[in-house]
Amino acid sequence: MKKIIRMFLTLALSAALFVGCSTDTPAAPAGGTPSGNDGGGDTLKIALVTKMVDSTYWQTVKKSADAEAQKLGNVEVTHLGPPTEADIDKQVQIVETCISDQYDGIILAACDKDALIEPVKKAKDAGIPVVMIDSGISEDVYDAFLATNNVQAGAECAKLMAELVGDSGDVAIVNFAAGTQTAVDREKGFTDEIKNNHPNINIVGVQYCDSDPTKAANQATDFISANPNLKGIWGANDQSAVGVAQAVTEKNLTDRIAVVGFDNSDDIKAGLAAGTIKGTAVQMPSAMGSKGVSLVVDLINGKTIGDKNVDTGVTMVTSENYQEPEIDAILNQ
Amino acid sequence: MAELLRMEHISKSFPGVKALSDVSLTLNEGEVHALCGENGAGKSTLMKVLSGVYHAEEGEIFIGEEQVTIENTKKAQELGISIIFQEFNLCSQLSVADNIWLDRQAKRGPFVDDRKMYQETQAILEDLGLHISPKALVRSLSVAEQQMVEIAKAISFHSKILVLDEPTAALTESEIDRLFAIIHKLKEKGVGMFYISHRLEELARITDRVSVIRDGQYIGTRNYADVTIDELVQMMVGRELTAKFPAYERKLGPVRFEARNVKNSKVNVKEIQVRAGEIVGLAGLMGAGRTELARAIFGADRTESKEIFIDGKQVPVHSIQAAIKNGVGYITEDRKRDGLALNMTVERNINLAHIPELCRAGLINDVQARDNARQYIESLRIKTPSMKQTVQNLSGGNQQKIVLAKWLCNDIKVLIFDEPTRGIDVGAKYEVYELMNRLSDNGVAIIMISSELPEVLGMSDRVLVMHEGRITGELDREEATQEKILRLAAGIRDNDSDMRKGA
Amino acid sequence: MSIKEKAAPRAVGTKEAQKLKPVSKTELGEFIQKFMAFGVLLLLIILFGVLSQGKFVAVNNLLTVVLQITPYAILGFGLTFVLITGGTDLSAGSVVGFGGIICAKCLTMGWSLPVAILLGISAGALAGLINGLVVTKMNVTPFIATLGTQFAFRGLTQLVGQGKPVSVQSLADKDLVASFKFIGGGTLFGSIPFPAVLMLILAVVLGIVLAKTAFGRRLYAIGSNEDAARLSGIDVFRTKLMAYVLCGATSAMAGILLAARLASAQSNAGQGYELEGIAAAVIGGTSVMGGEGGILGTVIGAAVMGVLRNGLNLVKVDAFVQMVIIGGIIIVGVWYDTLRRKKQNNL
Repeated sequence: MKKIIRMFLTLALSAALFVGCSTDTPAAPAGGTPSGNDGGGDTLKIALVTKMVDSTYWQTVKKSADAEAQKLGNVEVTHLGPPTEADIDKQVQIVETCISDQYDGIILAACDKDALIEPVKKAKDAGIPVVMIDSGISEDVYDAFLATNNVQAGAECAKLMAELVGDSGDVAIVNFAAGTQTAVDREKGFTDEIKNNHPNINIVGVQYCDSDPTKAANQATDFISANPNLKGIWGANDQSAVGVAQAVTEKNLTDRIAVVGFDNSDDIKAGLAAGTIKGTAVQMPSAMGSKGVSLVVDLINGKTIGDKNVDTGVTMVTSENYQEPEIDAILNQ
Repeated sequence: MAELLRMEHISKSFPGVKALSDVSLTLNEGEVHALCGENGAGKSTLMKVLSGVYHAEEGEIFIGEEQVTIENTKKAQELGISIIFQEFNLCSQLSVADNIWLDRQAKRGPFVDDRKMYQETQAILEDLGLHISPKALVRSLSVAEQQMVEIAKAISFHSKILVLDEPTAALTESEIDRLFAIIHKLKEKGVGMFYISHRLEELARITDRVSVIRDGQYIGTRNYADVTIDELVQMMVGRELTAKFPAYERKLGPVRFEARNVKNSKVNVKEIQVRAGEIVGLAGLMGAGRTELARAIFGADRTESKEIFIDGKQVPVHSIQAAIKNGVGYITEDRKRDGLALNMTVERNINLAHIPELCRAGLINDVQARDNARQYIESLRIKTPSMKQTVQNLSGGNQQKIVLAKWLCNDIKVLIFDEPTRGIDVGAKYEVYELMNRLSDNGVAIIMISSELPEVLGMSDRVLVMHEGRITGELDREEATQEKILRLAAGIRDNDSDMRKGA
Repeated sequence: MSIKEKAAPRAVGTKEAQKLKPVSKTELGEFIQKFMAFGVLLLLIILFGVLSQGKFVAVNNLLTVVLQITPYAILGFGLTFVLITGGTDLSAGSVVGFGGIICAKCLTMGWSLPVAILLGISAGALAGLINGLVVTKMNVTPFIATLGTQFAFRGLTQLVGQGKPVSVQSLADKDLVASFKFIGGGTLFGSIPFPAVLMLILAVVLGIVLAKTAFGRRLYAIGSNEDAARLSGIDVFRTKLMAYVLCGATSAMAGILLAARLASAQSNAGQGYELEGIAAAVIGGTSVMGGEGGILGTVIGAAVMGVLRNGLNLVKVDAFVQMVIIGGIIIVGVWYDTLRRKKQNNL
């Protein structure tokens, strides 16, 4: 009994933190607990379904989600995901399995903006709340969407790139995947910003490396050979950026060609330290993880939430500012 | 008798080889027209021209009075020409009926009308006097039955012209009897047949006329009644062969090879002894366990027990490698399935069982490998444009010689021949026999498995007969006759009806 | 007693004996086939040289291409061995990741570079051994067996990396990092990529093994007719096993080179590389049905793929159009090979 009370209190507290202090609807007591068939005393089962499991980025999301779960107590987060971001069918299967396994809530980063609509609908039909993080879906069937606004983040990268190349010259893009919403948005934000606000910069091409740093390196090398006056290359995720930096280093062109990345990993940090990567856009995956868990728990408890779409934002980290204490904290979140 | 078919002045060449040159043949209604010739003479090529597999550069084909062009096998079938090759064209996973009506099944709407198809199949099979279920899967049938299915298929096309390429090569005596009964039935129906065979003895039972082809040239056509086997052989080889089997006085040494208690699920043999220089014939019906015994001795199949002695000393032969190391060789029955690497070159095949000996410091000595191959190509008279030719392009006799060469490379003490002359022409057969005699001269102990009784009688110093996995009898050269062998092969005590017929 | 001299009947001075001329049609055919793949390669080089206004044929760019194809080619060597036996190895890409991550992990755990490399290659060989045992002992068809191990080895790779890249770059020992990076992307005499030199040495060694040793001969014999090979005394089990072990080892080598170039082993490294390797081998004339192929062909095949990618990038062909073109080339290459073989068989 004590357990239930304690859980209720934590839930109410965290809900209050999020929704604000509006108390027009009194928090429903016992009756308003989980829509699933779990009794109130049992642990809430939350599925964290990401686009893949093996990357620093998703591991960070998982870590903060776990931390939040521990803070709330009686919440258990299971991290699931396909082996690669391109494995859309696999992710659909995973979500469907989560439904049949009667998870209480799902936190989902969609591999595909259309293919995941149906599974999300199914989950909603089964009474399971779904909070999207990082990558959304094209129909508004989810309960909430916590993400970096990738268009905005791409534009931030473009601004940094423009600054680094002196607002003129050739730049190239090595994107990490073709047709993934996140990738599409980042690319759009970058190219739009260049076109609209930096007319003297010319984008010479886009390649897609499937998050394989070796491919990214090969593609970057080819960009360098094809465009002798290249002044900058943007790698649109961590593996792309690492590969691009490698190519530029191999060609001894770190001084002439600026590399801007996206996301964060040990290799990116090493690149920033060595100056081979001039800057990177760091998302706030820890915010996605922790907010995602608390939000989904609120929803399970029948709370309503305000704005469905929440931008978690990015921080631009450069080889100059990466050692500053608050930036360092973000890098190592 | 009306003329069914006339082929005139057919010529066909392959790169570097004139396979047929100006060959003319006719075929009458209700006639069996035998085609004879050595391997590679061009018989099969001529029949492939007839059935649309190959296109002749010159010459005309008439069916009745009408000149026809046969672009492909489908056209040949439409014209009523069916060919039954040595290798069957059957889908082993499908039923008999499905095979016969492949791609032209009776239909009801969009669906296959199985009932009608089975009925029609049953009718054809009964007409041929066959007791095969139309629903039986082809892979469950014996080789002979599969051949019958091919014939039934030909009949289902209402073929008036049928080509049988070596139909008896894989059949036992009783199965041959059944095949010939069917051939007689087809003759009565007016079907004309070309019949290719190397077994000249059996021609007498069915043949009306016989034509001989040698080196792609037409040599002549005779009424079978007017010609002797000796004359035919002479036409085929272009020289006179004094005898079918080389006269030879063998010198037998001490016991060279001995096997005791060879036992597995298919074989149970107490003892076999072969003396140095001796040729022991191993006779028996198909499925009697002769090949299985050979494989067991050679270490190719598992055995429950087995003791092998070479020159009186027991040797372990639990793997093929050990068998070869101890000087035991095995020339398989089906050279295409497990004797040759068909898409490899003549040179590679000859040296296949010989690789370790060709190595110097871990690397293959190419010069030595080529010398070795050249030596055997010359001494065995293997007809090939080059030692770099892939063996699939060679004739059966030449392929068999390559298999032989493969084993002669090794220091062989005991050699098991499994059907050494199957599908080989007369001239090449004689050469194989000569070779066996030479091996015997060198003290090699030879076990010869053969389904051709004249061969068993002609070559063996002793004959062992197998039945149901056991050796049921042993006959000396003097006492062995076809009749005695057949009795033993059938298992004397039970009265197998088939065998009474054959004896 | 030697049967050779005595048993063989004396050669009669026949026509057949005289027919044996040194150069035959098949020899010419083989030459043309190899020449064709090589011809295609030259054609592509000239084509891209012109289209890219000389950028493609710049020495620096050509060296880059060699560096780019190196991992695919090395992987392709092992695959060539397996393909010749009539088998296949779909797990090769996973073993690339496995070998790379084992090597990097060993480095982070403080092992010396040679030991780490040796352990990485051994891990790959072990993976190959498992493939070989599943194929030979358990009699699972190679396609299915290695499809299964593809998942298994990828899983192991993720386990070792804990789902994250293993970074060597961030190690304190900068000399170690530098020498590791040299293996993956360093240059000799100023411009010749070290991995490419490794690849060429490996090509020569494995080419000799395949063409000139008893082991090589056995591989071809098994791929051509396994039953005939077995009955000729060839130890089919051991030979096949060795082919898979070799394939595992070369896959791991490719993986170590990838990890070394970035000084970081990705746990998703090598995904899909097995298909690149198979494509390289097949374009170079190796038959997926077994019994035919060679290392030189695979080098040329890998070069064709690499030249295509690099060349298309240099003439700025859209990334999506590139995929269509490369797919087409693979099919045309194999189609041509099928035609050639058919012609040869109808001789």
